[in-house]
Amino acid sequence: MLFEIDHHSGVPIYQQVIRQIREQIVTGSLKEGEQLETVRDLSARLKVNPMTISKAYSFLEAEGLVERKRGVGLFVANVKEEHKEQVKDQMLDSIINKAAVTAIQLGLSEQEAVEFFKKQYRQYDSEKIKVGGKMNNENLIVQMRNLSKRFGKIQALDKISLNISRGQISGLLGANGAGKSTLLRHIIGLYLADEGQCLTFGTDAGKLSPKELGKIGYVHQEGELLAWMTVEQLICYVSAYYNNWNKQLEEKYIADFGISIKSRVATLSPGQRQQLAILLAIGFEPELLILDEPASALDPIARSQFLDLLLQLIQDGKRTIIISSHILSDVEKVIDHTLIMREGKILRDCSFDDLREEYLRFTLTSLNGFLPNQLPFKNVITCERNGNKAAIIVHNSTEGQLQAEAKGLNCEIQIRTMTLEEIYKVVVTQK
Amino acid sequence: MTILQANFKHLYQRRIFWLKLLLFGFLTFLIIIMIAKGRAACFPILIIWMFVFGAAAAAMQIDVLTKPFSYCLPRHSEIPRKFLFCAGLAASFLLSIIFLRYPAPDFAGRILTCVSVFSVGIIFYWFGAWIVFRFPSWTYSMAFLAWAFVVGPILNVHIILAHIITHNHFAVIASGVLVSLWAWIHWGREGLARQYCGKMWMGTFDMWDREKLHKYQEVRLAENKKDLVSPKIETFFISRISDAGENLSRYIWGGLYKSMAVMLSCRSCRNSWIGVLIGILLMLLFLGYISVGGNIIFILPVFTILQASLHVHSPLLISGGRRERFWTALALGTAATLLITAFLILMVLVTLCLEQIMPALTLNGRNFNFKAFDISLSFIPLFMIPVAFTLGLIFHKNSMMKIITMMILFQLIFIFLVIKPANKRIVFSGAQIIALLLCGWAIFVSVLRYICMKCSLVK
Repeated sequence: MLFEIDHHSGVPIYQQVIRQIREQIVTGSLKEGEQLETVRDLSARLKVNPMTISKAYSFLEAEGLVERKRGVGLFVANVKEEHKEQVKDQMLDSIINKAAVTAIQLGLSEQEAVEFFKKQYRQYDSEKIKVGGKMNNENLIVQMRNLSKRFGKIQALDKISLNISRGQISGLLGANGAGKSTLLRHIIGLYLADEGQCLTFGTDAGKLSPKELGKIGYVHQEGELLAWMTVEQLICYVSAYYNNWNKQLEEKYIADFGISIKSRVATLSPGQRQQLAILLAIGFEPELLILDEPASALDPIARSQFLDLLLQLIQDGKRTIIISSHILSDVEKVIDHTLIMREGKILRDCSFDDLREEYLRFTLTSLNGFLPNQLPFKNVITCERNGNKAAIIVHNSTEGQLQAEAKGLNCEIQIRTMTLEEIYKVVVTQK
Repeated sequence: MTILQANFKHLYQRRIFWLKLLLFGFLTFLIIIMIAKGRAACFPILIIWMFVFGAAAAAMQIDVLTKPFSYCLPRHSEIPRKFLFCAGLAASFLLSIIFLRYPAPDFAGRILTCVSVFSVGIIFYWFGAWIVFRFPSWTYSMAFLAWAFVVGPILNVHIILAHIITHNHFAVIASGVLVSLWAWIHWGREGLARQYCGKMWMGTFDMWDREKLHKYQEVRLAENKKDLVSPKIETFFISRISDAGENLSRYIWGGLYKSMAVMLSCRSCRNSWIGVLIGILLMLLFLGYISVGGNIIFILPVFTILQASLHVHSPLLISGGRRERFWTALALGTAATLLITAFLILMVLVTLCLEQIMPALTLNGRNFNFKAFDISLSFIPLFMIPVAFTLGLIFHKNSMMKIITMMILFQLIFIFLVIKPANKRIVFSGAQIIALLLCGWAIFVSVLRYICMKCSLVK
């Protein structure tokens, strides 16, 4: 399999892998029954985290394009022609749509647009067509430049600069009062920056028009809704604003969440209100979904339903999601990008895979009974020693380096990937 | 510090109580003046003083009792009674000392008057406390105060009170002892803490607490099982929102629906519309008979408007931007002003009809003529409502400032409209009215625009 991974494109790596395998399957480069490279091999070849490849494979498996044979590996599934056509359509859909809109804006007639397309098609037909490409500004959904916000003596946001690209699922992490909600509210223009700029869909967030706001779904942590309405009335009221309201989606989630539509909003429990708020935010299938502590009031089952819902929403790879939450074990399952905040500043803004690669936790067991006082590992963050054992967290070290150094010490080493919660604690407590 | 001492800290730590301290100071000053002049009016002021203090002390205790943590505090169940007794006895004692200056034939008479005053004070203190504990709505306390202020003078209550206090010492003292005994048993009963623990309760202090007010309204809504909006109204508005397309009218219709659908549906008063009509009629009769004072009706809606929301700071994100929020709020403000003004003009017309048929009343030798409201003052709501909306916008996070500013404004207007016209009728010229209206609306629009376009819109 040929892959071209662009680490600087802003498109999550697992999505690049998914897209390229999809393309190879529908174009016939990968044939039915052909075995895919193992997670370990592919991750080693592409120099990415094995979790990234594993995540990409899981999506493809869920989509039915590949199938797992227990103990053997992953193989290209028998994909029906109509399914292939569907995938092709999906791949072309957004590009063609954009082209059509631009053609109309430029005043081209249908005939002229088709002729232009044919000409381009013929020109590239014989060339090797590369997928991917440099990210342009159209791919940036949110851009912040030196954004600052102060409430009295409190510096809520301090010169924040960040980009959020289309299709990115970002986890916004931080302690209470770190500035997460303030940052999210700047994106939708509820707060105006004291200094700096925030562009959402390329427009100043404070000047977002209904057209841009119509592409944003927002679940706020207060869960405040119009309490006097019934659930049915509230959905009817909110849906009236959106021409693209998905009635089927609404019915599905009302049934899944088990909310009675005749209930008055005031009678709903905090968890049910949050579920309703989520439904109202996704009902019009927004391009950008902002979730500010969406699962804080949900019980374990509702949280699991919510996660399933999120996983479904990110299947097509078009939707951009920013999720702020304290339940890191949940966030970890869906995000591909991490933004860690502390005291109004962004401590880390990187892909989740990079973050995982950066921090490693390992256990060192001396084979000859004792560990030297001075261990040779570089960039040690924490080191807990107990007899002939030591549990160490390091950053910016590769597995190879660690293994070589452990061998030199005559020690057994067990390296494991850290969870988001562990990494988060390390990042925010690091000076 | 003991729990009881901690409870007393409320008296100076709660900012809202500072306002009441002002009131108590003013009433004490009035009592001193009245006593110096030897006028019986000092007694009704005394009972109002003690009643309000009793209500305030009770409200503080209920506020503590409703907090679940207090239920678990060791021996906290004894605190309400201790607090109420300490506060009531101290206040009544201090007030009664002032009455040493009240004219009496001898020193013994003065002392007995003081003790009687102490007893009457404590009786009305317990009455105020009981009303607050008994009735969750503070309208009952207000009803007593309205009675004391309005009906009391008509029935010469001050003379009756003075006679009872200065001529029936022993009966009054015995009543005070009995009522206090009852209070001791009543506030020491088992289950008092359990009765209030965790309950949603709104006291006069909580009018200022936006969060609590919001929760209280939600609890009330949850208890109300009726559908608040009629299907016709809902269909009317929703179809307009849907059909409006991507233009401004969609958001204006949406704002009107959100704010006015419940009122326009009038579901809550449908079953009792006769009661509502009778209520309105009684209010008109009362205001009509208090002569020019009835013109206060033009200012009353302002207090409702102060609590109303223009949904500028709504957290529910719909696709409307800042511009849409501005126009929606402006449309809402305009609609509310016009509706209220139209309603008030209708009331004026009703009083004009009533003026023709209502007879003159004679009560305690005083004549009361029914007087229609002054239609020339109908412009007041057109000016005052946008001003109230403006205050609501400026102090949207500080209800206390909102009410204080409005009360100052209200006092000024009250003095201007009610006190002065008793001697001389004020006539506003057309130019003055236009200038006032332009001024009010210009301020409203400017503030609204500034907030919508330049400020944070987080609630």
